Amino acid sequence: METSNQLILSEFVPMHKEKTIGFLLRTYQCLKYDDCEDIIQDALLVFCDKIRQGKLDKIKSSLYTFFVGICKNKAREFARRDLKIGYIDDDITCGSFSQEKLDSILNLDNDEPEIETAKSLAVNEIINDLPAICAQVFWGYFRDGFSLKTLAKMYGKTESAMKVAKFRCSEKFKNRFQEVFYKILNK
Amino acid sequence: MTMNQELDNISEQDLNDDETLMQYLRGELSAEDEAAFLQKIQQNPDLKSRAIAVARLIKGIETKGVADDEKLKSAVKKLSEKDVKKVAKKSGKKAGVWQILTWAAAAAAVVVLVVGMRIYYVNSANERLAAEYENSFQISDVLRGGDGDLDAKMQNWREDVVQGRNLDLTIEKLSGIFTQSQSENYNICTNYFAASGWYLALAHLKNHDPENAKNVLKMLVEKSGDNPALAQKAAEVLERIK
Repeated sequence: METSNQLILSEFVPMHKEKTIGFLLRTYQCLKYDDCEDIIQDALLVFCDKIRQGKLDKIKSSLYTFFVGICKNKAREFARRDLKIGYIDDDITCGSFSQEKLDSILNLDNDEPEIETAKSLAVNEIINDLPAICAQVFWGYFRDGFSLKTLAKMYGKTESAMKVAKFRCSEKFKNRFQEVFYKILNK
Repeated sequence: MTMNQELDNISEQDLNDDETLMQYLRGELSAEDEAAFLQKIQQNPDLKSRAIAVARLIKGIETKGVADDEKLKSAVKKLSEKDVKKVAKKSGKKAGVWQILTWAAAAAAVVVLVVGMRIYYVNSANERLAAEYENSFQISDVLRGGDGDLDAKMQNWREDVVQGRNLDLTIEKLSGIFTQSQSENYNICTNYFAASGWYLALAHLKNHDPENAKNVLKMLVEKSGDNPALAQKAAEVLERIK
């Protein structure tokens, strides 16, 4: 029977497996599905090893972004065996967000502490209940820092479709935020 | 206009503004472009409220994401290398199409084998049961005298049942006699109710048709008031049919 710690780790792979394989297959076209599964299995061992050694204690990126990085390295090893493969475009991230810049925007809407608390609660309520496509975009783009191109590969969409999805989801979030915020405020 | 209709009206400008917002939040804009963008936000209430919402979203997701990652790190640090390998192994290959088909074929073969063995067991058991009871009565006990010709045929049909040969034809003949024997009007088959019924039931058993055997035996039980030994034997066999 699995312990709770094993369960937590067990949830990691299924949560991210298919999109990781999607990215690997579309980036390293010499790979087959089975190869990608092998890569993920090997990458998980390296990933956990690094965590257990404390090497990821202070990373700035998300753990999943780091994990994809390990998968990339392993995929490159596979790809190097195929001499016909030339340049591989496997840049995955597009930079992180500046806390200073985020605060400068939030300062345009500063309120009393109670109201700010209600706003935080509203945000938490919404992000715990996102529609699937919005969860894919928001977590992938805003937390993992993946580019829209990378997300497109992960989910088998075009980059422009991901761009539109991001915009739509942001608008939906904005509208939903107003509803939930006023609901919390009026409780 | 409904909310969905509004959302469908996404302009190129909207997407460009969104991209500029992302660049601003990453600190990628030049000082000049930054100033221009901040001025635009102040003049455009929609853009301003979206920028604020996105900034809140990013902070919220970051906070939750960091908490989730800490939970994962803490869990992994408590695991041994062996535990990690176990989880990694479980996360491995799912079966390919051929493997699934092979497993499905193997599973189907096992099912067919088990069902086949069950059928064989049931049929064999019922055949043995019929063989056990085929000498329960001397033919003379069940023949009540009648047509000499029919007597001879009954003897032959009995022999066919005992030998387990020509069962389909024998069943057809015995069924005819058995049915006729139950007619309200006295006829040449009337005296052959017991014999035809008994050997018909045994023939059905040997022919792997326990349901019809049961039907015949039930009738023998119900209608053998004048032949209690037959009724008792019929009930006995009925009880034992698988």
